[in-house]
Amino acid sequence: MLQFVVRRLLFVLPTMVAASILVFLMLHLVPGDPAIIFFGDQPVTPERLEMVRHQMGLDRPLVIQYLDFVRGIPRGDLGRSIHNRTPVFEELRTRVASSATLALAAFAVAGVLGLGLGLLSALRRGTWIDAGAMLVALAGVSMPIFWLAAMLIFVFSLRLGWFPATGFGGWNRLVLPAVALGFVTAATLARLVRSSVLEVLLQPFVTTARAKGLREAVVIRRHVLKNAFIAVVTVLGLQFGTLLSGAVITETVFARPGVGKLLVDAISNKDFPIVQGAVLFIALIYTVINLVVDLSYAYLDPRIRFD
Amino acid sequence: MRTSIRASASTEAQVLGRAAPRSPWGEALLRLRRSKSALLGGIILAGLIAAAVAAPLLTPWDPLEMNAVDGLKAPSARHWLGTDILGRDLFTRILFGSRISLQTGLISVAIAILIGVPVGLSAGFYGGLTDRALMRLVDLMLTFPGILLALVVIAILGPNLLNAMLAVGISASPTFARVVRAAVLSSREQTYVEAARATGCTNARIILRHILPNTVAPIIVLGTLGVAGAIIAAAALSYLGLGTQPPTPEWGGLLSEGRNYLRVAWWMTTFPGLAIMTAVLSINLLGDGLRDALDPRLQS
Amino acid sequence: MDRIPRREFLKRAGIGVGALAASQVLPLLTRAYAQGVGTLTYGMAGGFDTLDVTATTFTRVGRIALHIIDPLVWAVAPGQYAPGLATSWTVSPDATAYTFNLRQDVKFHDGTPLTAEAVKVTFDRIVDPNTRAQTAFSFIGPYDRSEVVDRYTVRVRFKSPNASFLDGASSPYLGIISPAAVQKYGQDFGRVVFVGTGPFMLQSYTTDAEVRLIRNPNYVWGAPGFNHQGRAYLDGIVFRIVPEDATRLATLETGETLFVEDVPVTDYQRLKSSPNKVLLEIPQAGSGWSLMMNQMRSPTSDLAVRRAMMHAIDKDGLAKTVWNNVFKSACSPLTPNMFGFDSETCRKIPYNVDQARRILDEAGWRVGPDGIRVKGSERLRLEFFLQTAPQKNIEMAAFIQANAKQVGIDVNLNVSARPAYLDAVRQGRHNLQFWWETGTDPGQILRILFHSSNAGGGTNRNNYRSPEMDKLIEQIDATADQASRKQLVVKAQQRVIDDAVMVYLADPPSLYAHDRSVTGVWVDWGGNYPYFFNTRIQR
Repeated sequence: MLQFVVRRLLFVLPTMVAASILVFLMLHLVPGDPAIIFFGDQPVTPERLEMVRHQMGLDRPLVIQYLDFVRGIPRGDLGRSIHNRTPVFEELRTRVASSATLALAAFAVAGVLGLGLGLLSALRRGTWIDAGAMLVALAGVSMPIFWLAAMLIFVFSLRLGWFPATGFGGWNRLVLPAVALGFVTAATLARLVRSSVLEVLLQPFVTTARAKGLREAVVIRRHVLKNAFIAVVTVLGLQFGTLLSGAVITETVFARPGVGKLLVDAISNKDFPIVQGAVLFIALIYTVINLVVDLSYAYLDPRIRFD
Repeated sequence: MRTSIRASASTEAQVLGRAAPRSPWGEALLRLRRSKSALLGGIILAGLIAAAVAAPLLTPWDPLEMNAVDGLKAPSARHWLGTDILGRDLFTRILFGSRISLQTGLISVAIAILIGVPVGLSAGFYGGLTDRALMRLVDLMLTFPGILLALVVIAILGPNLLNAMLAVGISASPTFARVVRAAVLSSREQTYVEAARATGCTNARIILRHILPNTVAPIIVLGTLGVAGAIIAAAALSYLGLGTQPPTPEWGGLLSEGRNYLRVAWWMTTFPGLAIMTAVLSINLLGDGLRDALDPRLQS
Repeated sequence: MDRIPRREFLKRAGIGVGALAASQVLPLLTRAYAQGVGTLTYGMAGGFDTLDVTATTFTRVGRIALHIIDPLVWAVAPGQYAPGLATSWTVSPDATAYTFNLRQDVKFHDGTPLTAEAVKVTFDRIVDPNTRAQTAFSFIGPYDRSEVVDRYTVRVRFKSPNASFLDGASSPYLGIISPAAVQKYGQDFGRVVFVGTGPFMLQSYTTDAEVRLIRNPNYVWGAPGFNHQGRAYLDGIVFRIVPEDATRLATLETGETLFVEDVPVTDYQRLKSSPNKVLLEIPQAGSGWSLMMNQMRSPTSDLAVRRAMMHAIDKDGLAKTVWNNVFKSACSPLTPNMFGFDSETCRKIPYNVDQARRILDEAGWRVGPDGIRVKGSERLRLEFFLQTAPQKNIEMAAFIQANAKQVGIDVNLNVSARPAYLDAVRQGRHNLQFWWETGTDPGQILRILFHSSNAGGGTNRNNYRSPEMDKLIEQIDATADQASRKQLVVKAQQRVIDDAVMVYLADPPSLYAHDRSVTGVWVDWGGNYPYFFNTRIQR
């Protein structure tokens, strides 16, 4: 087990470095000059343009630019945005806090809803309850999230007045965005839980256990829930990264600051330091989550401890 | 896997009093046909495809035809699903949009398969250094959430339909690689492969005749569900302004066009949203049915 | 059949009861999210680059900043200025030197007094390359230096005549900031702190989320034009960023905001007839929405093509279809409320499809088999570059495309992301692009749109280079006498119509909406800056 953990950890650093270099190069492929983007539609003389370009550090060789970025990391200094010169760390901090809170809340919603639906339909397989629950789940997976978000605002904010429409600062502002974002994940989770649980229920050992007369509850509790949690962990691994940075639409509709929007804007502005910093952070989170997921797998299901 | 299919086929044959079908595919098809939900999904999907193909015949309007007088009209006998602000018929735009959305789904998945399957095959079959190197690459791609990858690809290549398909395909390919690799790993250890090797079959032959067929099932299932996912992803990109560009009608773009008119023209968002949901739902139903049909363990 | 295990049942029952209870209690708790009495929450339509008003390009930063700083003078009507931080001023006859006498009772939020030195530091900072000032830089004009004549008198000198300086000095971008704070915070000024003399002070700034201001308790130097000169009535203002139109308007209804900007045209009717909301509709000063035609690229280099475009666009139809008649159709590079607006220009370019066709026929553009005109081997195809947002410009572009097709012009829409768009239009690869200019001085507007120095990648994307026009603009800048200045402005408008430089599309009003309980809102005559110094919330 320890060997497994160590081997995985060893790969974290090279992966992050590779990801960072890859993004740096890809961003240079994006058309556009950051200095011109900075001035946008304002008048500017060629001299001023050159001066700003120099300030942005764009006239240095690519390698130097990248190394400068790397050099600051051990100190926690991710540089300053070339677009508005705020420290990258500061820009990330507020966005990350906001996105992370939303992701956690959404995941809580998804966990409760998904587990509930999935278990319900697995245990009532073949009945109308099963069909109904799975239909709801399918609807969730197929629904465009913007639509759900707008409907939630319309019904719960405007008509009923239960929750505020904009979500920043305070737990009640989290509810609607978390539900919007979490519903899709809940649907995915419900389907996966259902099939994982069924997989267990139809295994020979379950039949054997029943034949031996073990109580229903004991059988279910021990094996089924464990399988269900494997499903939860899987979905966590797949969706958390997406929840964190892909929640752009939800965050835009509910007016919350977020890492996704920061990235989209930074890519648009060709703001290298911000993109580098944000990607580094996201890659780190993703790698950690993947590690946690793999470790949980290894713990929950001994058969998986190969590599 | 093969042996268990065969066993169940004969059992079923005894029960049904019919001659047992020989190929596992016929087996699967039979199971598929008996699944009501898969059938429903298949029928709806077939209907959508037919509508997409026959689009010009089903509507008198042109999707780009503007008629300022008819702007923001509610659904009526003249305009079945209403009009947008420039007077364009929504039903027509959704109909023509189905062409684009379905194409996008298919092509994106095709790209994902073209990239992911060879990678997964090579990694699984050759093992060792190849496996480790390729899987590190796949892991690297997986450190980026799908939407981020798509964003960067589109930022580099520019926002249009083709690049959106490319972006979605590329970001979906690591999953295919992983799944294929897992399937290859499990079938590689089978005795018949050892036997084939012993009798002197070339690697290529082994892959083609023995390994590849075992990967087809997961690819089909993943692919079907992937089409649904690709349609939603492309719609999300268009919604953000990074996919198809106006005035081309695409379901996500139609949603985006309607978002500012929610209170005065509910039809502009409701119907494209329903279209996306219906298409994705039917594909998912079909995909679930396929998965159940191709996985023999779920018989009851 | 399987029974639901007890644990499972209890879990689900618990959730059900909890939800029921919550649904009863929540409405009571959540009304508390409306802001505290005496604080105005303002719904902003988007984010911005920096809070440092001297460096920003965003008008909304100007809106926030107007409450944190005070300008030297206030623009009360086109061309008319009232005292602000300056009690009186004189302008040299050639408009190259402005001397301001400052109030002596003003203190910055950090306690330091306002002196002539502060004005000098503020203006020098704007032209300092390290500041990377944008809007402020163009408002300050051909600034040379400032001289501290004595403790409360400052003389601002320009390299060339600048008749529009008072207009710039009345904008928030040239508001006076504290030299002590600039020195103390350096690069972080505007990000962490922002110190001016205004009736409100910066309390906190959370990027992409909100800006919080609180009342300045020591404020006693309100401008004479307002109904009181002491502290503001409001306890504070919270500017919240809500980019999605539907959400922002929803916050006005739920009470989360009391004032919103950028009301979408679709909500116009509803808000106008609403009993407890007030819609503010102020004609915007500037140039309005227009279409620039690139003269350095064929076929828009052909005068006939440009003239035909001017006659081919149904502007009234555009205003009706896309803007619900909330925007009015335009026919001049200046909006009707601008000083020197000439209504005669409207008669010169009516919507006339036949005339457009005739102009093209006479210029040798024959209608081809597919309806698009051809001249020799060249197709009459125009490349129209536009950005993905706002959505309205895409709707307008589609409308224009259809209009153009009617007379045989093929307009190809190139919708691009911002970097690619800027790349294309700055290099002049476009035939058509949109432009929306706001501003309160006609000389500045004309210079931005038509002066040759701004061509070749700058703001004059028409790439219009006319020595006569340049001379006119420079004269306008140099003439302080209002009457003669007006004549020159009229002449300039007529000139650009004759040269068929741009197609003028729509004159937008600035649309704000607020709750009826909010009283005492002042907006500058240009419609750009709502000011809450006099504002009260009646409960």
